[in-house]
Amino acid sequence: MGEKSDVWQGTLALMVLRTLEIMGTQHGYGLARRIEQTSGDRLQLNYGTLYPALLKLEQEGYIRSRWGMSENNRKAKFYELTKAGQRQVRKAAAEWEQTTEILAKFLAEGA
Amino acid sequence: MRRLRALWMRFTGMFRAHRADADFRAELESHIAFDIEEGMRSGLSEPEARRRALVRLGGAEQTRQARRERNGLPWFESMLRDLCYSLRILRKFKAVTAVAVLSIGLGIGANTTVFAIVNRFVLRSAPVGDPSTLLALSTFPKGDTCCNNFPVPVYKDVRDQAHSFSGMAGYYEMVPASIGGNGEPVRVWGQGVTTNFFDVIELPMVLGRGFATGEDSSPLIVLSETLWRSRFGADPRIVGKPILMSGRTFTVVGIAPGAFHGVNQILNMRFWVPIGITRQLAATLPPDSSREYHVLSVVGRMNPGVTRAQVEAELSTISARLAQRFPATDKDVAFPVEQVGSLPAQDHRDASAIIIFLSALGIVVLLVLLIAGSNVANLLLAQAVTRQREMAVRLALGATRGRLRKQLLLESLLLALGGGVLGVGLSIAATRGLSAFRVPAPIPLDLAVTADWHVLVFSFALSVICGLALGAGPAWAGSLPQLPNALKGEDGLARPGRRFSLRDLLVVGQVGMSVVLLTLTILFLRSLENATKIDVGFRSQGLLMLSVDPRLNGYTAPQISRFLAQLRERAEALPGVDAAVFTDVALLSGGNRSEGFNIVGYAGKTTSRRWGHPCLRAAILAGRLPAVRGSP
Repeated sequence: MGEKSDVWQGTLALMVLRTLEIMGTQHGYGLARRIEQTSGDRLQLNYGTLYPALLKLEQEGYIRSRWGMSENNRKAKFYELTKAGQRQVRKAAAEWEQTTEILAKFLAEGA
Repeated sequence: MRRLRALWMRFTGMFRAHRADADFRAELESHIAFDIEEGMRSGLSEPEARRRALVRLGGAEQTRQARRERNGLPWFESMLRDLCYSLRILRKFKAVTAVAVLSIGLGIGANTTVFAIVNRFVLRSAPVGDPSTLLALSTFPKGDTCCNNFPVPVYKDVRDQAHSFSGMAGYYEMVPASIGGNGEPVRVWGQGVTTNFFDVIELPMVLGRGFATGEDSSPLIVLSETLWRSRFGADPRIVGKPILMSGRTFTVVGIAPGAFHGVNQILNMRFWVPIGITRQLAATLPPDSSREYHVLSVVGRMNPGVTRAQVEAELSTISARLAQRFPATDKDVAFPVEQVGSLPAQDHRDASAIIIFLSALGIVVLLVLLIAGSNVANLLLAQAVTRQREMAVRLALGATRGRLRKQLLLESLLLALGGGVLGVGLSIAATRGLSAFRVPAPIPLDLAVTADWHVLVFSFALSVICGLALGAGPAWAGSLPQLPNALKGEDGLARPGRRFSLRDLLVVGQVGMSVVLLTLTILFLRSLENATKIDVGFRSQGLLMLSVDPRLNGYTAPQISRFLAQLRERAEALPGVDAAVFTDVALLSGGNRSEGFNIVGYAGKTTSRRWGHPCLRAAILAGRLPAVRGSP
């Protein structure tokens, strides 16, 4: 996979939730950078798309946000998981694993 | 659940859009600042770092817009804006709006009224448990035009032999009584029922209970809620109290819901007493040991899992068995069944006549609505011509034709809904007027028509359909102006070379339908005129009528005969009175009684029953009705 891939529909939410689970509280820019780094810089993330996704998760009650200060003393909005968000990470991760597992079986066939 | 929460957040987000936007602007600024900082750390100049940050973000304004769309409900907001705009337009074209609302209102009002009538008499069944398994049974002697009630012994035989029913109840359909309580005693009507009646029809009581086995001859009574409220002030402790009916004491055991007027929804029954005690209120009831007096109405509750065909098969077996045992009375008598409905189940001809009449009425009012609708559509098309500049400007500013159509349709929808509200108002006034009309019949009819939620849903749906249908043409045409012409102020809707426009078609249709309606109206009026001239066969001039009901005063059968004979004698003795007769059913009242007879010399061949009046002989004797041949 030489080229950078776009983020598939629906997977961004899981990436955000999982990243927040690992890193705890984080602001939007930090999240975007971290997601790119975790993918080994193979994901082409348009930072702008992150914010509607964050808003959606907040509306669904999986994350909450508040204003705070970053370590280099810059004002930023921080996001963190709620209880429902923690449950959702486990649920979505399990579903995703199952999907890839099934798909992997198809791809393995005849190979 | 999560989705609902999100939807709610977006809905409320709509009202906090301004603050949310400012908040996000700050968040985005801090995001860009982080990115620039990092870019400069890796050795870029500040302008270059800013450029890269914005590229990676995908544009600040675009991001804000994407977030804004997620924050509120864009489609809802644009609809609200369209709605406000449409209301402004309707206010601007006041005359068109008024005429349109009035036309649609009249059309919908007429349709709503007819639907309210259909709803009351055809669609709504009595408030009994599962009407689909409750059957009305009747007897149908071969050669008769229709069906009849059951003689008491026949009812008992059928009840004991039929296994397709979980229960079968019989009742005297109309029993009069004068009731005490608050105010002057008044005559009310009720029914004498077998004790299992309320169990068979599965009627939930408002208060108390129905009758129990073994209470067949106990002086007990179930009152209707209406009577309980009007005569006893809705006394919550009425159960167990004695009340006076035609001078006799009955103990109240239950209150039946006000919506229940008896199994037949057209009759207006207000009380129920056990069948064995009925004779105390109606002394002239024929003997219940006779297989010849057809006095009982019968309903049966089908066993679960039994089909109509099985019921009919079993009843025809029973009818054959009874014919063998009682050849003199029960021969060739079938037992047809019919699902208990709101229309009188006893006479198919009446029911189908009512349905045909209502369908004809329905078609007429639908035509009225069509005429009103095409009239309004024409108005809107004319309006579209004057508004083409507005449309052209909106198109030039970037509105899509779809958006224009949506907004034009919304306008016609609003017109139709306004018409709908007016129509419901008109219809309520009309049904009130109709309900106030008292049919001159000697039996207790309840023909009151009221609008319930079915009627409201119907008129709402009709308004929506009407609005969309009449708005579709004008919306389509109005959204397609020839831009250059329209902007110059010339007619942008004209399509040179086309021979007929939509407006021509609408006018032709309107004229056509109006002619049909006019013709129908003239026909109706002519029939009405003819009906007033029908030769009823007797001279009505100088004929006076007086009605008495000695049963209400507790007269016994012999006392009643004596009283009537005396009354007649004295009436005839009055100066100026030529002759006096009495009958139990008034002439032309719609009531009748049937009696079988044999023609001498044709014995055994003709036993058919014929409709007739007991007073005929007297009337013929009095010289008011010409005998066709022979002596009466």
